[in-house]
Amino acid sequence: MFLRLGISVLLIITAFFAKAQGDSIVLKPVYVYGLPVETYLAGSQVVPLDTALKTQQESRHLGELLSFQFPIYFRNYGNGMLSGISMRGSSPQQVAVRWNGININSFSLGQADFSILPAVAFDEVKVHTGGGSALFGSGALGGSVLLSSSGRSPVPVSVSQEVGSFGRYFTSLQAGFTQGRFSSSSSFYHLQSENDFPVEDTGQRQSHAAFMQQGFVQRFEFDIASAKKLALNYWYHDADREIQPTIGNTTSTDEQSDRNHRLSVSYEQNNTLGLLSFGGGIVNDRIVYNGVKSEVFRWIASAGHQYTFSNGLNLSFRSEWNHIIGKIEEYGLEEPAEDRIDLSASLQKTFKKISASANIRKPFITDIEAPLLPYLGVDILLLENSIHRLNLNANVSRNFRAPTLNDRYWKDVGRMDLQPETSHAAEAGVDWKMHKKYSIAASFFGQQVDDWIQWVPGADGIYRPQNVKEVSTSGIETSAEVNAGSGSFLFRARATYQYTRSVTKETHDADQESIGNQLIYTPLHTGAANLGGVYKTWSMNFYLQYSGKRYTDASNSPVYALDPFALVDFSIGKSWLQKRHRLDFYILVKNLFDTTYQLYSGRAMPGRNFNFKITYQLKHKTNESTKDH
Amino acid sequence: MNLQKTTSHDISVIARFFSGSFVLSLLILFLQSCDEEPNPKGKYESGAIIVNEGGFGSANGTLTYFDVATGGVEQNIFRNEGGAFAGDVVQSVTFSGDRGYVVINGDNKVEIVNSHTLESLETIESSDLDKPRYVEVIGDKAYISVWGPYEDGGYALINSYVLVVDLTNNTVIKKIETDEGTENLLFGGTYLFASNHNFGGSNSVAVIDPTGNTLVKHIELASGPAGSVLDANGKLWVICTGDFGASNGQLFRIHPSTLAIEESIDLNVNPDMDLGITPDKSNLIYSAGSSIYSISISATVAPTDELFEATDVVYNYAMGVDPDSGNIWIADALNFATEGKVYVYSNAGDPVTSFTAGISPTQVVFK
Repeated sequence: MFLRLGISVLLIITAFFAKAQGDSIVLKPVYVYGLPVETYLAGSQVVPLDTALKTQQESRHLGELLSFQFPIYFRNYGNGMLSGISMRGSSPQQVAVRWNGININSFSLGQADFSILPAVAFDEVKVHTGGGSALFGSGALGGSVLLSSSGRSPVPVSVSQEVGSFGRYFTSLQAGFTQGRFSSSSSFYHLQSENDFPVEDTGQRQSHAAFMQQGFVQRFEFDIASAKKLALNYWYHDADREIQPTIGNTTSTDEQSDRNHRLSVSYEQNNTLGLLSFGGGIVNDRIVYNGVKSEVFRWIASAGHQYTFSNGLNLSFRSEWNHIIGKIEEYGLEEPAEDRIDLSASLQKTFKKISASANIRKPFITDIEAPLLPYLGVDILLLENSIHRLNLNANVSRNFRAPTLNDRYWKDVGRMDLQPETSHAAEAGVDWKMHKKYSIAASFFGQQVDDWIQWVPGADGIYRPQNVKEVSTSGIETSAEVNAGSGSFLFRARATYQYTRSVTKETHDADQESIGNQLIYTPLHTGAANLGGVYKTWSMNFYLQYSGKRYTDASNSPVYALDPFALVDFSIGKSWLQKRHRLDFYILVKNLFDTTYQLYSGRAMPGRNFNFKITYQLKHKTNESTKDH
Repeated sequence: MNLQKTTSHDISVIARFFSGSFVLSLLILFLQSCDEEPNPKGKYESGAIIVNEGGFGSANGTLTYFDVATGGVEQNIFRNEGGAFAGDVVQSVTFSGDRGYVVINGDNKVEIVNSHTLESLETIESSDLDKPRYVEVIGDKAYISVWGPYEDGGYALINSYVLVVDLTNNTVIKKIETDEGTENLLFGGTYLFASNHNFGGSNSVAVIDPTGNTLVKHIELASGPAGSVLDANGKLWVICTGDFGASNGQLFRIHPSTLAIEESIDLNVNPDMDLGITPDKSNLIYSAGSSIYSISISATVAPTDELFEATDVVYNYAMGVDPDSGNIWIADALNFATEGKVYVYSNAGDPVTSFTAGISPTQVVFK
């Protein structure tokens, strides 16, 4: 209680002190609140999920969608099942997932389950590649996925219905209104699937893999005065699944249910002192697996201040406090509670051709000596004229991942003296745009991860967590895009490819086989491509994802490796517009070429399947502009 | 080699008319026999089979074949209907006659295969197969040790049993209730003995009469009865792994018909579950991690010294003794997340050879 108050007071004092440094520019009131986080990430790429892909496949989870646009690999334990992300050769615990500024990874396991992140719940999905702990905190090693449900409901009413193969049904309803200074937007979604797809290898239908997911997102916003805003975001998600068993297993009865409550409240005010923000939140994650419950409860409080000096220098301070309670049987009789405090500062300035940013973060965790985490990045405009734009970008960072609650509190073997995993990352690249229609980009990246936590078997056969592993990753990522057409016909082609070497350098004695070998479920080659066209009210898209060979054991044995595969989705859409009413109809063919593939050993994935979607939207009355949030 | 029966008359005719060619044809026949299959019944007729559990939850359990004669290794020799591997968590294989019985603990099946070619013949499936472990074949019946269901909301075993299956039609005849954690099976000539291990939580051996498929009794030994063998005198030996960390493992000698406990020996270690015996069945071989021990069947106290130290082995997960050479085979699971290794030592502990197996090698079987 007093800790929360103390931090708020500290931040207010800091804000006043910073003011004394110089005049600030008052950011445009009402419409623009603060600078997007990308501002402070000079030298980095923050790329939003393609809106067409997101709209056409909004009922799918991010663990299915992101690999059609980004060279990211997901190990999905079956269709609609647990989904773990692999970015730039890192493990699923080494990507930070943040929703409305709150980290939503599992604090007990460390990773985020992407199968319970349906695209429909978010207005914006952005992917940041590379190290970013200075801004995004624990777990931002391979990259970060930034989600926001900002309640940006551009239409008063939107209803969507989908019907798909294997008993798949999806419904979503969105509604919003504005009354004077008060606005509200609500979104409800429900997905269910029998998921009994034919399994190529056995000729039988997949059994025991049915699932249901549903959720509700609510946003309230109240403009207290012209530059003072109060907002509340709440997201409830509910998932029930029969756990898809391995191929050939017809007797499994495993099941899991997930319940997540995420609430964030924020107050922002913008005046000559700068942009001051206070926030609070509650996150409750509950998993019940075969009747065994595990729950993590979190209180969050944050305060921040942003400034723009008259010379264009942007300065920001931020503090965040998390109070975490783990209610898991395997932790013993006591429910451990932990406090984490993060303090960070960011600087950004754009000179004539150079934009540079410097960030620093210092985390404080009970009984842990966490390192200082800097991020330095620069964008250099090498050439700009009416035709070409050539930009060089580079950044270096130190990043960390705090040990999970499981690592620290598991009965008899958890250790409070475990150190966080740390990494040093560097990246440099170039991107070139021509006529604003054609672009090519390439970047080299590398990362050294130290003190990677592994559960190591002791002489007594008992596993204990230790900071033993060192991993070195390096690679190259390239992408190209072509936009063509004009008037009623538009065409776009886009492709991206990544080569990643992610190799164990040091590890514990029983794991010597993995030295010099590629990490498991980390393909050397990953790629994604999109071919899309729009003609008047028609649209057509091909999406492709490619994964190279993946090893599933530490010795990189070819006996157990998963074969490379390419997966193609095809969609065609038509829209009708009549005054304020809009109707969209989509046909989606997933796995167009009926490819047989696995993302995790022994878990079947569906062959060719279909999905039909119809969306009705009631648009705003003309002349009424949508509120920019 | 198929030689037609020839009369001396025929031979003299051949010799007279094809004297040169006779020698040539004999030469050709001789060369052909060298090219013929050394194992005419099937590629895997003799040698060693290593049973590999596979990665946890990855359905990639396999069988590895080691040709003792040539030293050749072949991975993943048996594929189930899915076609990629043998199944999810392969626990054991038992060979009986021309058939092999592969127990798939994770998929709850027993795959019946041709013992020499490892091709799939039939599958035993039943709702009573809930975590099957080992098989013993007596006549035309299979006896399968089954762990049974977990308790609600936990992982304790609550109802283990031995399932009796009629192999003429692969149907379950009877379920014989035993203490929890039923594991190793051994037919002692009159009775079938089932060790109830349960990670040291059980302490009995169930005695089953296969003529009526009835439970005779539970013989109480010590914590964690596991591997069992029959010695040169036909007596049954059972090793008990003891209580966790207490170094109180024991060896018991039991009369196979009277069921009397004739000898009990304190081992002063926590031994591993596998119990081996030398080819002449006069010495037992057991291990505790990388320490390998030998004890005479007439001994009354445990040996003070190890037979040898298997220094290469990181995690001793299975042990077997070659019934022909007496060589001691140790399967090393390393950290269960990588291909395992098998180390072969002579009966005195000298390294003979080693090879790569599959993930988590859990049993060494000799043919």
